[in-house]
Amino acid sequence: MSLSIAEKSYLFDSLSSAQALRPDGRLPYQFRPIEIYTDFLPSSNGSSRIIASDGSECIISVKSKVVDHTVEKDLVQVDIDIAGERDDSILVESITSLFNKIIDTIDVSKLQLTQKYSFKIYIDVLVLSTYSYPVSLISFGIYSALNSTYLPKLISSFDDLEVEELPTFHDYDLVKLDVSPPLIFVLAIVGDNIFIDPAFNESKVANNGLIISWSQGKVIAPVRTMALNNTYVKGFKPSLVQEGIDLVNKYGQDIVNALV
Amino acid sequence: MNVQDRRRILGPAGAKPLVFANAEAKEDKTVKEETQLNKNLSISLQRGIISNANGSSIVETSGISLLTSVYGPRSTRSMSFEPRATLNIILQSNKFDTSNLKEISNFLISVLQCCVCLEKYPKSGIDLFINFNIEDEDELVQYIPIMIMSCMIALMDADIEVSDIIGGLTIDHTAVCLGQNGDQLLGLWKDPSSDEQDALVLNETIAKCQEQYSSSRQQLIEFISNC
Repeated sequence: MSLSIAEKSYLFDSLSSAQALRPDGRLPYQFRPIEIYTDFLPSSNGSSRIIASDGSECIISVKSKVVDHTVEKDLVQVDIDIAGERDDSILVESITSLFNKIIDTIDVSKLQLTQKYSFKIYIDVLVLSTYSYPVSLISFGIYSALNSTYLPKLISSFDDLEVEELPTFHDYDLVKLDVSPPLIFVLAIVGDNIFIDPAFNESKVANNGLIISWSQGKVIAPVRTMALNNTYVKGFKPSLVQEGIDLVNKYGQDIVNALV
Repeated sequence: MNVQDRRRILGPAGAKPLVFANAEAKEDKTVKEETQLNKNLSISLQRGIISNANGSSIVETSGISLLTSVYGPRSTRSMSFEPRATLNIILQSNKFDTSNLKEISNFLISVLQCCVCLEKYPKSGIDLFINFNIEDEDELVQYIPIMIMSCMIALMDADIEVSDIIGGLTIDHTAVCLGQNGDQLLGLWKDPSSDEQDALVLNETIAKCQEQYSSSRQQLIEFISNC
């Protein structure tokens, strides 16, 4: 789907005017409706399926493995696949790199089993279809998947440095994984205005995009700008960065409350 | 000079361009300049190093040396009509992993799209290769200002039109790219770092960068006008 020059010009004018009007009538901080189903993959420890109102869809599976954390330092790993994109394409690689950076902010002590062993979490993301920059969708999916993850309950002792033993688990009981996963918000900058969650047509006329990470009530790094199209890209007023951060700070908690 | 007109249908595959007998040998345009940007940071700039690239540059500081080469604008193999050139940046480093480098190159493309006049080169592609020769800095964010500077010099060396001389600065683990005399923000890059504060405030960092931007821009302009 592509937009004509006249359509783009109309969209740009209405989004950049002093009283900005989004094509679907949303407020600047308002998200499109999303549908989330969790725990639908029987062979994973946690899973989620997230569908945006424009038909973008993404499935996420969380699997775990017991590793020696003195050897394996990286306890959470994200792998992203986007339908129609090569694995080494710049889009897939840069999104994977962004998620591996932000997922490192998770408190890995929650994954520790004994003094020697920990769970290693593998998060596999498959984006089935996407019409706008899918980062926000993926991060909401990862959030829901991790919040629906149950890991086997440890029954052997915690102290295994003195007596060498492998961790053993309960046959049926599972423990809910209690990490607070970070979220990523995509904001579009059009003229002097800033909008959360740009749809396809808004991304096409955005002057720039802002990627803001949020965790436990506040904005955290990574924060970066990202071109959302290749025709309208240009610089913007530096104060808009702080405006975007304030917007996410203000409404981040409400959005998280809506997710759970 | 081998110049194809990309706006028209190309000739047969084996066609050779016209070569005039008295075509002058290209003079060696290697220029070198060393200046003192800050008291502790001296930058060495060179351009026109690689003869078979359309443009090239080397930018060196105490811990970083980057070689950038520009190939293009050259015709693309795309079957559809592209009204604008496509910009492509490839980073080559021994120290950093590929996905990290691709993320940075995606960022650099976003920034350079703001200043390169891509609409002047329809149906073409511009490829930039950045080689990391010396990489003593551990954080990729420290390389961003140097990369921007070396891309700008290489692009101008290749006679590719740019609408603005942009520059980048790294302060407090945050890279800020500015244009239009520092009034416009073109790119911002902040990675998670160990000394994280409670609430993220970037206003001050951006303001500091705006103050220092003019001196780094002046340096680039002086270098270009001396060439």
